[in-house]
Amino acid sequence: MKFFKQRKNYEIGFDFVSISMANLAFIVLAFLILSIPKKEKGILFAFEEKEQLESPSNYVRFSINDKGEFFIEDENLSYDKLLEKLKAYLSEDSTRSIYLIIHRNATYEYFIKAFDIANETFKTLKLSPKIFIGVIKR
Amino acid sequence: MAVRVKFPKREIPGISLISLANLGFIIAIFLILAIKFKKNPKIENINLPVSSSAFEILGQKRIVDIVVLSSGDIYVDGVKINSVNDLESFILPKMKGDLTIFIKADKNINVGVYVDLIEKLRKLGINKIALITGG
Repeated sequence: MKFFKQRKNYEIGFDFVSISMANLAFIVLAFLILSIPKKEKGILFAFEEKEQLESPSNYVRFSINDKGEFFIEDENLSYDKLLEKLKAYLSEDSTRSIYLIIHRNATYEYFIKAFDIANETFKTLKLSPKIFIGVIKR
Repeated sequence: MAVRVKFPKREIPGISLISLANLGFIIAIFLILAIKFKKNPKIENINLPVSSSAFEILGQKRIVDIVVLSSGDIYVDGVKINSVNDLESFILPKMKGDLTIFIKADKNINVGVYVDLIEKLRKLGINKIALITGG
């Protein structure tokens, strides 16, 4: 009796037909998902180079203390009266800017609120916004 | 009587490598997607401030995402950093051209935390910052 060692041959190769449509669709879909930009809302700040920074002059002082109280030129005002007051100041002299002075311990939410009001003032008066931001520690 | 039986000719089995490559590729894509959409519960529970000045920010070349929690903890691309000085290692290797940093800060943080962060970013040469708001 003879025993023959069985010899197996396999063909190894690339068969491009094997890329099914489903596979291809999955890959394309995955790439699309990865490349979709995140749609987010926010405020975009473009800062000037430090050398070009100008010191604020001829401005309306708009400040927030550590308790979240708003002041315009040292006058304590409620939130709903801020816009009218700022508009009155800028209507007198439209070349003025708004200098937003915030206490370090005030919350970020108040900073955004103050920025919104300052921005809204310029918008309603159809002026280009000029807002300076300063932070105080005391 | 002799009967002659004809056996069909055996075909050599073939192994297509393309299926294996496909499989590997699909697994890799799946892993990338899973990492991309993996949510850190700490980072997701953030109270963003609402702003009327906000608009949809598109077309900005994003370097890193910074998240500031109400506790003052800062996360850069999902990784917690100990201080703003650690920002350098995340940002400097990616500095090329006109770049924007996206900041998601909890509305209850102190302005001081935010200011320290901005100052550090400016020192690193970042001039464009997007403050992400909610609502």
